[in-house]
Amino acid sequence: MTLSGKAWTWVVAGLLAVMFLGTACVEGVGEFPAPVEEAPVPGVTDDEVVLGTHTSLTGPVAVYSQIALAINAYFEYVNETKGGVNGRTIKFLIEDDGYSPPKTVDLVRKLVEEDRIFALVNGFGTPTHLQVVDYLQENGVPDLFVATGATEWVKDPEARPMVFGSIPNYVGEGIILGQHIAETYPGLKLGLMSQNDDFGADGMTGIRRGVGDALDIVGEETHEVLDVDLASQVDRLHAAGVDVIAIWATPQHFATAVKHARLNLNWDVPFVLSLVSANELTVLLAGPEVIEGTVSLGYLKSAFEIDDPDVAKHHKLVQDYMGGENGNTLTLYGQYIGELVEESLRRAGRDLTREGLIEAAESITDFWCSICLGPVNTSPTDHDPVQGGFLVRAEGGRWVRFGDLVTYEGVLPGDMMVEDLTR
Amino acid sequence: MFLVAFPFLHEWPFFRLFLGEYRTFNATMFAVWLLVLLGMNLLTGYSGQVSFGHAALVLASAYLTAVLSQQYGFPLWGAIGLSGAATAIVGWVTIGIPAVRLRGPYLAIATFGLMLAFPQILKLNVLTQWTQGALGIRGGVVEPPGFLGDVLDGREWMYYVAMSMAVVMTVLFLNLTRSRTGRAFVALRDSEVGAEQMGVDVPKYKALAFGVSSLYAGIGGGLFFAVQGFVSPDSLGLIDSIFFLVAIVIGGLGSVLGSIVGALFLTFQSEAISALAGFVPGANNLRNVFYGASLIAVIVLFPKGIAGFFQRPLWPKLRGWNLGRLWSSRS
Repeated sequence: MTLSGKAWTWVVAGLLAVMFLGTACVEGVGEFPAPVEEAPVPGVTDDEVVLGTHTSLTGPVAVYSQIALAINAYFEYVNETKGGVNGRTIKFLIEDDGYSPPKTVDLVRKLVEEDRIFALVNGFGTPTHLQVVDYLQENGVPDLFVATGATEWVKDPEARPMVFGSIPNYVGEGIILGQHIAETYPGLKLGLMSQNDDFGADGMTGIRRGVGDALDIVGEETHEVLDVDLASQVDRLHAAGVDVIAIWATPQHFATAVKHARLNLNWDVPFVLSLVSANELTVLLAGPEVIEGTVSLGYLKSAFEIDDPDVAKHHKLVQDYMGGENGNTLTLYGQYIGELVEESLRRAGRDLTREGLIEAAESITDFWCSICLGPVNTSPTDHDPVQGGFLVRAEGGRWVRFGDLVTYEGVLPGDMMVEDLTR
Repeated sequence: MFLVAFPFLHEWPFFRLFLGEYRTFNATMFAVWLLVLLGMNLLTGYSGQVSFGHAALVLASAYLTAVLSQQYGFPLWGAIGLSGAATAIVGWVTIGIPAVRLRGPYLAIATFGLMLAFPQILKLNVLTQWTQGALGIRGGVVEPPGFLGDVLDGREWMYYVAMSMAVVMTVLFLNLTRSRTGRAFVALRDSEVGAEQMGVDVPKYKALAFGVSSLYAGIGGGLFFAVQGFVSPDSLGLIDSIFFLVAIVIGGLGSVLGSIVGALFLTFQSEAISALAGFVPGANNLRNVFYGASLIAVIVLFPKGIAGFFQRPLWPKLRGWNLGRLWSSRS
């Protein structure tokens, strides 16, 4: 049945009444004095500063949740041993978006508007963070050290002054690895494999710039995040007769590709891969023999260097504050972010404002975090803290550094070329 | 009363204790999800067709709205209307009509394929000049029209637009399901053969259900872009399509109240589980276990969803003024 005429009258009358009352309420609002004084700076009190993040505690990439937990562990360590930063302890709120962008929006808005965080730190994931980066800009919320290397965060610091990158951006990383390919395998045939999004696209842009015309690119394959394995892509590159493969993929995907090549095709093609997949998870999934000889980039000390006092200290921190067994690449990265945030807060001083924090974060010069392999430098035109690293090669299940530190300090990703590299 | 005054409640002395500005955004997203779930419920709950592709329709419309409004200078509201209509036609002609031949699991599989394919299509190089590839399209901040600018800020205006759209579309939905067409949908669901015996043109109504459902998804998608101010090929995925289904099953198939409960579920689930993690350590890491468990619990305990539970024991008393009837699927 449809609503009868009488019912409609009631509905219309009701709506009108509601609107009238609503307007009356609105006008009334001004007469109430604000009962609670707003804190002048959100998330900052005399003895505490509140930071937040969005990450994947669940979902397809939940393994990366260790990063946020390690950052939290580092903050707890700072709170306990140093009494926080500038007399304020750090409170860190972690929200789980399960790698779903609409949830990221919900949760980040909640962090900003409800929990009143001072700054967002190390938001995780390119598709997820893309959905909130402009919201944070428009609301003037510092968006420090995003946990991906997408050039989107760092390519135009003047248009997006609030956002900072954290790992070497994918174009720069691609250039360094591409140049390595050009020097090591000149005149041969190159195959490209990448994830079909801007993670993969940025990486391939870099690889092409780095390789130049030293090699023929004879095959280009892409895959989706949800693909189960990359066997068919490897098959096609095999059929095309490529001599070396550059691959931009997650650890799970890279592991299936390298296993298929080595074990099923018995093909010992050299792999050059993004640092995103050069970690313990890949070793676990593919096995140490299979990945032997693959080349990537490293910008932090490795978890296996237990003779290094700073790495040993990190393992202790993971045991004491995270309840974990031992640190790994992800927890080391978490500590690096923790130290960067600590340094930024320290530089921002006792009188914390959001503008002050941004100024502090873009004035870091020659800062060596305890586990860094190179200095961190930022400026108002450079929101990319680490721009470069060492080449690493897998030996017995560990990626070991070789060669010199390679950087392209202070260059924006759009302009980066091989000529800008310094050693 | 609540609807109209809602955005301002957080400024009241009492309400500001537990309502932040954030709740306005919550309520706006609720309206968007409600539109999507109404469409979904029409398709699944009323006419008995299961679709895993609804997030693709929402995404398509969000993209169309984005391209029309950001690149071709259409006014945002016009773009939303146009996208809604276009999505309805696309859903009707390109999915609904071919889907007439597909039943049950086969339709689910076909729409599943659509969902997997669509984000890839958006990333195709030939379309990059419109879609901007994987980086997505940004929208500006929506400002209220001049004369309301003094009273409302952008997000409050957005709330009113989305919520009134949802209310109007809900009333239309109620009327549709009470009509001849609505009864034809229900007959279809219960038995296609039976429906045909009663003179229902089965292919026509099956396709029509898809079309109307797509219209709701389309308007929801247009608003999704307006509210979020951004859309990328990965903004909505297969997971979200599955969540839409889970939400209407938990809410209640074949009833408007079911869609409302489902939209509440979609809006507040992540926050609810985060809050739960405050009491139960580790709850945060068992998110999907909670969804699975609540789905099973609802199917076992309340076969008609949470809405069905509330309609049975509590509502008959109110039938005097027809409210119970208003919400239930059978006339």
